[in-house]
Amino acid sequence: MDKKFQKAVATVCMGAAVLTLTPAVSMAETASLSVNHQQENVIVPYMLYIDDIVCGLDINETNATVDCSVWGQEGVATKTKIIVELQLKSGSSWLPVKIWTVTENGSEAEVYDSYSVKSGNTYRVKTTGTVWVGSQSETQYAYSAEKTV
Amino acid sequence: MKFTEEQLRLAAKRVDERLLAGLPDETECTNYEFSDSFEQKMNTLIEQVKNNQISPVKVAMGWQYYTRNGLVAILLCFMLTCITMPEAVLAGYQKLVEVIETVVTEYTEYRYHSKEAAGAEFVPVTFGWLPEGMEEAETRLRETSLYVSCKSQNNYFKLTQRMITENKDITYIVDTEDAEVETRYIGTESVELIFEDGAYNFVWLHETFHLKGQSNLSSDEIMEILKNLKFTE
Repeated sequence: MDKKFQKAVATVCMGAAVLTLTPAVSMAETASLSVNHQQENVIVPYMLYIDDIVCGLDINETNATVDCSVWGQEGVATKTKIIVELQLKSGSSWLPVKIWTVTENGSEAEVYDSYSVKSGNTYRVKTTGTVWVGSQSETQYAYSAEKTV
Repeated sequence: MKFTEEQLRLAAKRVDERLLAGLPDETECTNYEFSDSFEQKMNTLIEQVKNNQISPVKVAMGWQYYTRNGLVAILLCFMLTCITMPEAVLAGYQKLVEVIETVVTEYTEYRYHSKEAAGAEFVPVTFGWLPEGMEEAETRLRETSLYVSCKSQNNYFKLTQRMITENKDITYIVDTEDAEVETRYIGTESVELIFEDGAYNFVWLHETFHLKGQSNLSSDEIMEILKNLKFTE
């Protein structure tokens, strides 16, 4: 092959290799900014009976709406309980300002409610989900991001 | 006037031939005596030339040459990428929701945050397709979320839709321990299907909507339902 043609092919291949990395990063920005893999020696509760937990906080200067749910497996879980705590940041501690508790027979429990808040404060939501399968139960926690209003 | 590399090479070759042609033939220079060391050096050089052991010195073309050619190559590659992978290029401009995914042994946590304005209207999805015999059994519509449960004789399909805005963040934890996790795509958006104990949990981020659910249908049927969801009124 002509040397000039060889150089051109090599340059195109290198450029293509560089550019194919860029779309991968771009796509990653849509789906995920970072993936953290925690060390396996950290002791955390099992997810044996709990399938998922959603912890949502919708907050503006005057009102906070919590949208949280706990699901166990349909047809397997016998009772589900959710405790949603709207917390206010005080120094380095978090103080509960409102607590909702819902217990349902079956595999789902949810809390969707609003509470008056004051601007200038930082809030977050803590969701505690418990699922029973017969006499056995499992509890898991989820926290929303902190929001300053 | 700019010369190409080829033109310069040909010109240099012609000049070389002319200069050599102007010299007397070596057989005519019989009375000239060179020193022994010079003779030895020249004989060595002549031998190397005959055996092609001497190659021309490579000339550095300068940064302008390489910069220009490099830019052209990058432009060609970009155009090639746009033609072959338009979804990848478009994905780079879609940053509606930021997601932070944390994987631990027992579960995976997703944290969603958006810069989408809070005043956007929440439009609940409707089903464009359901498996035969399956019907909507329960619906709970809230200001920024929807819960729908569908059932047939032996199967169920549950779905929640939540809108993520600048005021509403969502943390979602799903059991992935000992589960088979499969990623499928609807367009450029990924759908995570987590299979465990005979049922699927799924999660899909569509624009500013967080959709998740649970079903004991097959993964193909779940994907068919999701692909046919209608997001407009």
